[in-house]
Amino acid sequence: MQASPNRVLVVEDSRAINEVLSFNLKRAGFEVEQALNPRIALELMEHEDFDLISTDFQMPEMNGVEFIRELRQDARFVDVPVLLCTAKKYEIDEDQLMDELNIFQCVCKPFSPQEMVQIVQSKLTPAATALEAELSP
Amino acid sequence: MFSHPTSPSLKRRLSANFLLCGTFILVALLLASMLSPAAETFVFGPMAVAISLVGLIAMSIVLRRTAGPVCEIDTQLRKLAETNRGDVALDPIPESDPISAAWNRMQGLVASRRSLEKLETRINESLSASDAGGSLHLLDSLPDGIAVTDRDGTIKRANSALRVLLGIDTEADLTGRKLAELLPQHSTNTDTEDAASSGNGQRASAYEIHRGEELADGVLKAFRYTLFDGERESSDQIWLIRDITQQKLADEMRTQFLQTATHELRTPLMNICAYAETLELTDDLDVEQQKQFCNIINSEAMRLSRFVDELLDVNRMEAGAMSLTLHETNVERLLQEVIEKVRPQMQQKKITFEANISPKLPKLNLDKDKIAAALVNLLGNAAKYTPNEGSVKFTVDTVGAELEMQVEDTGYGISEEELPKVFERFFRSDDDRVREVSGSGLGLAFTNEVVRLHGGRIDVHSELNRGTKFTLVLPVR
Repeated sequence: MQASPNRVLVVEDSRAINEVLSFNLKRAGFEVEQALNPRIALELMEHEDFDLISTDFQMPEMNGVEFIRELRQDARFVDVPVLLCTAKKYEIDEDQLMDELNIFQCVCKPFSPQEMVQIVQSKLTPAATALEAELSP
Repeated sequence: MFSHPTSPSLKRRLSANFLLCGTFILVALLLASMLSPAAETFVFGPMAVAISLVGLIAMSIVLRRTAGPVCEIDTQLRKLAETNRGDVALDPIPESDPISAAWNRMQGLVASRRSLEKLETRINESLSASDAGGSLHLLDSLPDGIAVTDRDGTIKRANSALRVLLGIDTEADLTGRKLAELLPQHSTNTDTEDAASSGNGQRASAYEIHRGEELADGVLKAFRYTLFDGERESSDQIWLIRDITQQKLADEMRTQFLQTATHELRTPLMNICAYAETLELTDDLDVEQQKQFCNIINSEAMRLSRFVDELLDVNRMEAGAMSLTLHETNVERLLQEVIEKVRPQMQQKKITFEANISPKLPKLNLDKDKIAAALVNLLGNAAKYTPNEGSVKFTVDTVGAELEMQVEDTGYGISEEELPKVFERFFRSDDDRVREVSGSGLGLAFTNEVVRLHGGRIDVHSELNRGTKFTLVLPVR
């Protein structure tokens, strides 16, 4: 296996959704950690490095946007790619948030785990996808 | 034909022509007799002149007789043309020939037509006079406020509903007062001053006027139209003011419901789709994993199905069509079934669940399924909104002629502001701890309706962060 970045943190309060997303990411070759809320995620990030973070929007105590805002205030996490999953796309100003918090993609529930795997792949293995694009007609 | 009203009249032209012809004949006769050599011309010359004169006079009489009516018609038509108005009366003329007869017939038609028009005008005048009273009466019967104002918004007329809407004494005379001053002054999205004045020259416009910060304080909708006076646009405005509070509240509720419903539908859908896709695309899942994935799909499908049931119940409630199927029911057995249903939920969260059911409960005439659903709602809520390792107490006993059932928890509690709203359809607390748990906002509304239909009542006491107590009371018949 090449030494490409492949550590993903999935922050999602619904255990079922967290499980199924992690399951699919692992099968695609990523190393996955699960966090059931942003507090746990922040704690994990103190000790471990992640190449990408996928977070839900609606969570108790701290929602996804608040979580990302806190991340971006920490110099260590300013550039880590973040993917925001939400069931409330109509309630948030996606474009503004993506610019403000440097979110590389928003996906709206219900989405397919395969779709998410592809999004993560395209972000973390750009060379491979570029090659695929080159090869496909 | 009458383009030269100054030209001489027909009568004058005829006389002039007649005189010209007569003079010509006389002169011709005189010349003929003077030039004739015969001696007898001296005798017959003057005679011929005399005879021709008599002839001319006779002809003039005949001509006057025959041309008279035509000249009379000519005179009247000239008069009509000179005045340039349609209201000159035409007079009948002595009837002596077909022309005068035809004229008289036409004159008669015109005269009767004119008198009909006069009658019509008078009828319209008297009608519009009585209409003023009639329409005011009509306006007073309407539930909407109606006002007629001038361009500046000064009231000319107002119906009694307007006084009621604006909270003014129903006998008060509003004439001469400014509509803008009478409208509620608290206005969030429209300037009332602007609303009740000319309306920027537009023929019609609509404004929304809020009575207070909250929708429930009241919302009025004012429609302004330019009044038409017959076919002309007048400077008066007619205002229709309607209380749309209920409509606004219903809209708000619908929006809230859509948000809740979208979330409630999307989460289980997301799970079902995600697990089904994973099952389909992964070839090497072991049996245990397959089973686990299927269980999740199943339970999420059940969650969707429950939500649809709740929606249908609410739909029935709304239509007033929810009916009870009453049977004599063994209350103890019913309560046991309810407890068994909610126990797993309590165990999952390690909640201490205590049920104190009096051993001597009467048999009641109940809709068993609906009462069970109502109690499952109350106990399910207690489990949902109580943190892990909390406690829930379920107490049932007869008190006087009533059966009293209490559900008491040590949960998140409900704030004082939200407490009066808990039985409203689609109401969901703003508390993040509550938002986190799935819920349609329909359970308590349903429970309340079921209890009401049984002739009972439901009360709630709560303290934030301490817990909530619901008391459900059913009459023992």
